[in-house]
Amino acid sequence: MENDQVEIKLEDLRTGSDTVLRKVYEENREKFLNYARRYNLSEDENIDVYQDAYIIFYDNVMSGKIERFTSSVSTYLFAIGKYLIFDLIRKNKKTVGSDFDLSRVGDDNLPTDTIEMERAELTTEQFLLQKHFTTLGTKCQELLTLFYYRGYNIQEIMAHENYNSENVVKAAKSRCMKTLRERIQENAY
Amino acid sequence: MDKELLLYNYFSKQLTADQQKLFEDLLKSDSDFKKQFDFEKDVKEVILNQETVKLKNKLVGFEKEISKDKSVRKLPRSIYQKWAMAASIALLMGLGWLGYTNFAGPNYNDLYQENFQGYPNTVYTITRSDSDQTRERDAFVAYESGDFKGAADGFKTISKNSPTNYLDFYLGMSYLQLHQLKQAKTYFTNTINGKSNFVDEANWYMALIAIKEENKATAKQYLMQLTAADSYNQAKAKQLLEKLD
Repeated sequence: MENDQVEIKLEDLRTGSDTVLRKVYEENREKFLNYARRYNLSEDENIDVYQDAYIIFYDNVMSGKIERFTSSVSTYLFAIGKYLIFDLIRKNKKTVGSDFDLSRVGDDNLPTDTIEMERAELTTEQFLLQKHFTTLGTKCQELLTLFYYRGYNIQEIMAHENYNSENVVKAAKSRCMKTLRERIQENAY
Repeated sequence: MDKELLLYNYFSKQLTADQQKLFEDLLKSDSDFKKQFDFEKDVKEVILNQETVKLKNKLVGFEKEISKDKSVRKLPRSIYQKWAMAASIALLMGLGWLGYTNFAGPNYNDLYQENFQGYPNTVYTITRSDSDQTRERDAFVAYESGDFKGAADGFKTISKNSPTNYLDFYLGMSYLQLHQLKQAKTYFTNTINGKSNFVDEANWYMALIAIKEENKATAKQYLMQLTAADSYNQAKAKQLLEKLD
């Protein structure tokens, strides 16, 4: 066979390239939907579950919960997707066929110890912080996103964003954080 | 140590064991440090949330494009007529070929190649934290890495004593990947006869094996099992049945 999928590396995903994101999405979509169709959910629900599984998987890669792949991307997506299907069926109290064994979705070795399946909603303070974050200049938003989200260190940011030196990056980062803090304080009254 | 550097090392996952200890102590004893840490943590959370929304939008976009690609690709009316004429000529030329293929029957090898796709490991998640080097884990690692001989050997060793109902199916898949059809059929048959969750999948692969063996009647028999609503590969099974007729 016929296993024509090219191995996706964690680093490829971390770059956030649309090409890689789409490739992973398309390569696993049919397999997942084919699998999900047996659970009596609508096609829209199946697609939603697939997208949510993809997002959870990606969030865990970006937050560092998944530090390296020990399974194929497919396996992660299926494991998370199955958990979500089970959750959805439970929430909707969906009727499932008599030949369907609910335990099937629950009997996996889900990596719950490493994968964060649900994230808390933003608090009021975080919501306000987000509002102010979006008012920062593009450069600042990019720099902070590279550091806090993509996990780039100062040297990597320097290379990626064509800064002249590490000190310039550090100074820029401090300035962005200071501006953000000031904007919050200005609007606190 | 510089507190800012400590926070930097924390967020870039570079804390040493000593720094980790100092970091935890400071969180408890230094309220300014804790305040700064909470702020940075919130910034991280906010960015994560924002990027998640962006990703969701991207996925919705991908989905729209995929649906668009799949929807009927209608040709513009102006060029439709040209194509219709060309198609008519091709149709006439093709009739001779059609007659030939009708007598010759379906091309089994093509049908097999078009429809065969390996089945992913959907049952055993190999996590980073796995400390137990179980035989099952090893077998699935082999399966995922394409070492189907190693996978088959591994699954066979554990299937004797294991109550899990998916091992026969993955054994069948491993043998099918190795083109050992006889063994593959044995394990798929076990899957179908047992209380496995992979009965539909086993029927599908048994149909493909029958196609590979150019056994139309048997292939149709297995495909018929998949024509019920919500069956695995229902649409593909129906298509294959049409092509075999």
